[in-house]
Amino acid sequence: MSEPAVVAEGLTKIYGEGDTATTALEDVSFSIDQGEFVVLLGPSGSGKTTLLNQIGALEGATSGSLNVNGSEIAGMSDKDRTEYRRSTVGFVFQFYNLVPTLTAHENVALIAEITGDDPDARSDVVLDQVGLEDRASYFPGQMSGGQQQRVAIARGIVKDPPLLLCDEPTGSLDLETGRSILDLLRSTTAGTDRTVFLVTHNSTIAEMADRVIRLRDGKIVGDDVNLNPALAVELRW
Amino acid sequence: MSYLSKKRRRDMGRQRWQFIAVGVTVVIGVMMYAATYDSYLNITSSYEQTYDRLAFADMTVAGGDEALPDTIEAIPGVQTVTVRHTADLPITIEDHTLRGRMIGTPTSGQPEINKLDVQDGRYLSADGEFEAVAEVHVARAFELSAGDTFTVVVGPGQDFIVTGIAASAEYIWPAASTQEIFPDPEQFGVFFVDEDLVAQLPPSASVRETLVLYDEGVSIEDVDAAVHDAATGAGATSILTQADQPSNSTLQLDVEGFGEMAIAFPILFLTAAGMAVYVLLTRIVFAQRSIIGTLRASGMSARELRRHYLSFGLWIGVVGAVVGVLLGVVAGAFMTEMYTGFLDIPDTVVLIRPTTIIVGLLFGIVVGTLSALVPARAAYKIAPAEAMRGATPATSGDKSWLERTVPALSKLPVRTRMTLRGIGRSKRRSLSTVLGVVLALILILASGGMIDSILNMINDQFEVVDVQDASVIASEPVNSDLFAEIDATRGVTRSEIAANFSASVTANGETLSTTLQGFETDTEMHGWTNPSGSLPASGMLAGAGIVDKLGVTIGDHVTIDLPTHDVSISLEIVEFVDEPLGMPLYAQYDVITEALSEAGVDDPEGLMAAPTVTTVLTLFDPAIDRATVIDGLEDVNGVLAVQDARSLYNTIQQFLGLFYALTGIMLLFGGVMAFSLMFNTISVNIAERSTEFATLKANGMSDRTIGWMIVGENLFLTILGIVPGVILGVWMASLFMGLFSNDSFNMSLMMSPWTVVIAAASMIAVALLSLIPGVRSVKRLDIGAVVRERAA
Repeated sequence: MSEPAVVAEGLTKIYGEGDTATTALEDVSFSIDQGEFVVLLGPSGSGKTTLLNQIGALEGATSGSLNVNGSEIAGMSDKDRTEYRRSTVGFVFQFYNLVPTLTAHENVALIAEITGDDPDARSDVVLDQVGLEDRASYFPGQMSGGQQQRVAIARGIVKDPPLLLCDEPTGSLDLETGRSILDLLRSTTAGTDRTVFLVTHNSTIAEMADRVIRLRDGKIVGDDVNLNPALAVELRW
Repeated sequence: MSYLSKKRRRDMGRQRWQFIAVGVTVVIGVMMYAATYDSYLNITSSYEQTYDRLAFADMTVAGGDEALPDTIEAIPGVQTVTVRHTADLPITIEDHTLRGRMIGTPTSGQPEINKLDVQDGRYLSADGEFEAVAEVHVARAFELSAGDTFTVVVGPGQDFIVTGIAASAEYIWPAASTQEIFPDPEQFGVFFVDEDLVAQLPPSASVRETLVLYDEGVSIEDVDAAVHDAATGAGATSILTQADQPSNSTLQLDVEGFGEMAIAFPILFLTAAGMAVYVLLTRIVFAQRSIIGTLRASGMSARELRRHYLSFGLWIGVVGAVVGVLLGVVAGAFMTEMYTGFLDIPDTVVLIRPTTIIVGLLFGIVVGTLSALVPARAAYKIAPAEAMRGATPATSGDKSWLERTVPALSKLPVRTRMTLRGIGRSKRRSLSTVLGVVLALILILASGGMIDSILNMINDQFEVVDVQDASVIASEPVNSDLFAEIDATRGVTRSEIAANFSASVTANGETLSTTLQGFETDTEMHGWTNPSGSLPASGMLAGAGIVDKLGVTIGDHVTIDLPTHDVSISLEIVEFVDEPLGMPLYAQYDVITEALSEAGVDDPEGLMAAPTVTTVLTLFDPAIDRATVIDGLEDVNGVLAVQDARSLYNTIQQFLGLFYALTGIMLLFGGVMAFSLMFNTISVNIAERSTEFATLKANGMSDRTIGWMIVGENLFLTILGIVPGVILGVWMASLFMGLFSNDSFNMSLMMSPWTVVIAAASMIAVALLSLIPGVRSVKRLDIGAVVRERAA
C-alpha cells in the first residue's frame, strides 16, 4: 500500500484575534490516499474552502499538522509554500481567473513556464486532453464559460501536479456544462496518481467522489468512502 | 518572448490610450529637460566662444589716473591692458538725429581687447580718414552698408564714411549703460572710429577707459578684486566686471532663466507622470487580483510578480525617455539657433551632449520605475487566499465627508450622493486628479505671472514713471528763447527743462554707475513712487535697490561723481523710489545747481544749461498726430534731436516677442499635462466601475445621467485643486521674478486677477475635455461583455 497523499492531524485555522476571532477550521484530521477523488462538502461558511487553502498552502495553519506526500506544510515559510505550490499543486477556481489578454494556449503555457520545461509542447498536450485543441488561439472573451473552465483545468494540470485542488469548479456553469467539467476532471486524473480535492456545497456532486468529507462550522462531521462512485454524466442537480 | 511579457504587452495595448497619455507626460518632461538644458549649455557656449574669439574685456574701468593702466598690468593674473576713449555725441543719419557712441579703435589692426567681428565690408584702414565701422544693430536700423555716411554733429559737423558692419561682444545687447537697459537702435547707435580722433576730444566730451584681459585659468574673483582695488585707489568713476557689463549682464539673466527652467519645469511634468503611472498601475493590479492570486497559487514567486508589474513602469519610462530625449535634443538645437539668430550672437554652438542624453534617459526610467514600485509591491503582497475569494473585493462604503459634515446633504438625490461618495472612493486617484490640476496651475501661473509682471513693469515705467512723450535735445545751451519756441510747437501741451548726468556713487567699498536726473519743482514729467509722492525741496531721491547695493540709507550724505564734468557733489538721501528700471538718483534742478556751486563749479547755471546736460521734456496733445508734433519740434532752430518715448516702448515690445513665444509653449504644455493626468484617472475610474455603470444602464439609467455623475465628480476634484494650485502658482511666480532682479531690473510679481481667473477656467475646460472619451465609453458600454469578462 502506498503512503497516504495527504494527512491532517488536529488542523486548526483561526482568523482574527480576541473578540473578533473566527475559527474557520477546528481540529480537523483525515488521511487521503494517492489517486483518490475527494469531495469536501458543506454549506457556505463550513470551512471547506479554508481547508482547500490549507492543502494548497495558500495560507498557514494556526495549529496542527498537515503532511502532503511526506512534507509537513502547516508551518512552512512563504518561500517554501511558493515552491510547494509550484511543484505539487494545481488549482481550478469557480470563476476561471484566466488572463483576458492571453489566448487559451498562452494561459496554460504561462503556468508551464513557471516550472521551466518546454511550456509550448506541454500546453498543446493538455489542451488536447481537455478537448480544446482547436480553441488554443482563442481569447477568454471569445469562449463560453465551459470552455474557459476547460482552459483553467488544462492550466491546473499542465505541471502534472500530484494534487489538483478545485474550488466550486461548476459553480458558474449550467448542469450540462458542469457535468462535462466534472467528467473532464475525472478523466484527466484517471490512471494517474493525482489526488483531487473538489470543494462544493452541492451534495449531488459528492456522488461521483471516492471519498466525501463533510464539514460544518469548521469541523469534520462525516468522512465516508464511496465504493461505487457515480459517473459525472449521470449526476442530476 | 515569455508569456508574462506577452501579457504585459497586451495589457498595455488594451489600455493604450491611458498608457499613451502617461507616456506623453514623460516625453514632455524629459523633452523639456533636454531642450532647455541643452539650450542653456549651447547658448552659454555660444557666448563663451564669441567672448573668447573677440577677447571680451574681463574688466572695463572708466576714469582713473594716468598710472592706472600700468598699475593694473602689474597685477598677477592680468594678461593685457589697453586704453581707449569713448564719446557719446549727437550724430545724424540721413535726416535722423540720434545719440552715437564713438568708440576709439586702433586703425593699425584689430584691438587686442574687444575685437570686432566684421560681418560686411572691411575694418578701418591706417590711411583712411574719418572712417567708421558701424555696429550691427544701428546698421540694421538705418540699413547702413559700406560706403554710406553719417555726420557727427560737433561744431560745424564732421562726416564719417562707413567701411564695414561689425558685431561686438560689448553690444550683443546694445544697451547704452546699466541704467539704460532697453536699447532703441533708432536713438542710440555704436560706431568704431579711429582712437586718435576720439582721444582728441576734450575730457568733458569723452571718457578714458582702461580695458583689462585676464590670463586663462586664473581666479576671476581674486583678479577682479585686485583690479577693483587698484581702480578705486586711482579714482576710477566706473568699474565694470565682464559679469556686470550691461550687455552681458542682461543676456546672462536670460540664460540663467533657461538654466532654472531646465530643472523646475521638467520636475513638474515628471511628478505628474509619476502620479499617473502610479494610479494606472494600482488600478491594473487591483483589477488583476484574482489573476495574481492564481499565479501565486500556481507557484509564481513574489519576485517574478514584482518584476512583472515593475516592468510596466519601466517600459513607460524607457519609451517616454527615449522619445523625449530625441525630441529634446532636436528642440534644443532649434531653440539655440532661434535664440542666437534673434539676438545676433556671432557664434552659435550646438553640441549633442551625452550627459544630457544620459540624465534625460535616467529621469524617465527612474520616474517610471519608482512610480511602479508601490503597485508592484501591492501585487506580490496580495495573499493568495485573500485573492481567491471570488471577484475583486468591494471597497469600503461610507457617507462622504461632506454628508457627515452637512447632514442635510444626505437628503440629496441618490445619484448626487453617489457623486459625492465617488470622490472618497479612491483617495489616491482623487488626489492624482487634484495634483494634476495643482501642477498645471503652477506651470500656467508661473508663466502667466511673468508675462503680467513684465507688461506691468513696462507700463509702469512708461505711463507712471517716465511720462514725457518726447525729450528734445538741443544743439546749443537751452535759453529762454529756445525753450519758448519748443513750448510753442503745435501739439506740445507742456514743456520742462530736465538735467541728466552720468554719475557714479561709491559707498562702503561698492560703486554704482547710475544717472542723476534733475527736474523742475512741480514737474509733471515724472511719477513719484516715494512715500511722500513728490520731489523733495532739498536732497535727493534714490532707487530702492541702492540700499542693498551700497549699504546706504535715508539721511546718508553720499558723494556723487560726475565723471564727464570732473566734479563731485554731495547730496542727502531723503527717500527711496520704487521703479521698475534701474537705480536712478533724482533731485530738483535747482538743488543740483546749488550742489555744483558748493562743489566749486564757477558757472553752475552754464554747466546745467549745456546741451549735453539739459534736455527739454514735452507732453503732447493726444488729439494731434504724434509724428506731426515730432516733425514740428525737429524743425525748431536749435533742436538737434527729438527722442520719442513711444519708440522705445515699441522696441521693448519687439524684444519681448521671443519671451512670449516661450511662455506660450509653457502654457500649452501645462494644459497637455493636466489633460493627460485627468484623462488617465478618469479612464481608470470608469473602467473600474464598468460593472456598476452597466448595472445602472441595465436598470434604465440614461447615459446622460451617468455622464453627469462622472462630470460632477471630476469637476468637484478640479475645483478642489484650483485653490492650492493658485496659491502655489502665485508663490512660484514670485520666486521666478526674484531670480530676474538685478541692478537694471527691479522685478516683483504683479499678477493680474484675470490671469488667475483664466488659468482656473482653463483647468475646468481641460477637465471637461478630458472627460469626453470616458463619458463616450460609458455610452458604448456593452453590458453583456462587461458581465462576461469578470476578470477584466
